[in-house]
Amino acid sequence: MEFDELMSMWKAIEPLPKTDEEIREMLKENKHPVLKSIRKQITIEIAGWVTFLTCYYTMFDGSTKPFLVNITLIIAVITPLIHNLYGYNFAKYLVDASTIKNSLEGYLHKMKIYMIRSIVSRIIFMCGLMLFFSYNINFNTSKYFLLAAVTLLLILIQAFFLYKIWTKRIADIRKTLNGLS
Amino acid sequence: MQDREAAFLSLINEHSGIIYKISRLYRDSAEDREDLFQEIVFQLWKSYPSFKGNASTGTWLYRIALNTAISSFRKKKPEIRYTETLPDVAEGPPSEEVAMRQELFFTAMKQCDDSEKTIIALYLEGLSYQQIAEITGISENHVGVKLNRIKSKIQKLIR
Repeated sequence: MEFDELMSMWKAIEPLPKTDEEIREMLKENKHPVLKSIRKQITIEIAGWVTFLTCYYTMFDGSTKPFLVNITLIIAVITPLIHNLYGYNFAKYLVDASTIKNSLEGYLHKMKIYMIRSIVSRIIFMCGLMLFFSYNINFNTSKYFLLAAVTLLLILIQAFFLYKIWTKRIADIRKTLNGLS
Repeated sequence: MQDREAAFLSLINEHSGIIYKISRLYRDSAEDREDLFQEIVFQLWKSYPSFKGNASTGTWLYRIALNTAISSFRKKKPEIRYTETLPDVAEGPPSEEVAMRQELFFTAMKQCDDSEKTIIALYLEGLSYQQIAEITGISENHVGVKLNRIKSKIQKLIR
């Protein structure tokens, strides 16, 4: 097939007809396929963690633990929720109207920051939770080391998977950028 | 607001062909294409207030649409959706020969990476090297070099 033929074939491709109503629906944030699922996840997480925060003080002996430990737990729980809201915004404002190369460079930069924030917020969450739930337990030295090892292992596993997911996405965008360089 | 929305709707109706073609080029399943179509329309709507007609409508639309196709997240596995009724309009082109050619082309395009798809889509739309350079952000000379490489790659694939 020659390129002239390809060009006429390309131009002959007809879109599936869409009504104004269908297009109007596409403009709504609550009909957006990705944003809808992120919003659903955020709502469930916020509801769950707010319930936890209202109950933990009596149910998990928050009253017997120092103020700073309680504050650490609250920060640890709120940090990933804030990060998720940031993620929602990240998915909502995907591109800018500059050249494709510039827009992808900006997107790549935002993605790297997002990856670091994801890992840091997960570390804060894990550390806060471990600190709170292990605070009043009397450990001997070897058990302290064991607890530290388990915490570290959990953090490393989570960080590894997050890193793996995001580096794959970053590599894909970088490959496209290299193709435009 | 209503005037703005009406103007936007007419713009989308006018250019729905290119949005559809980009969706088809960058996504394999019909559901993914539909999602990408929606994502492109949504991103165009988001950036519509900043579009003041400094660039031509086409240039602005190509930038946003291609950027969205490259940047938006892809589903890992194709999702199977069953509909209650058959579609009123059959998807795809009218004749068998045209359908075969299109299929051959889109199958070949799966072997190309996202940057190659971008350049070839703009070329097939009939844009000049200068316009492709403006949209992508690479130099005109580079567009020429890239395009020659992509053309020979595609010709090998569809031979």
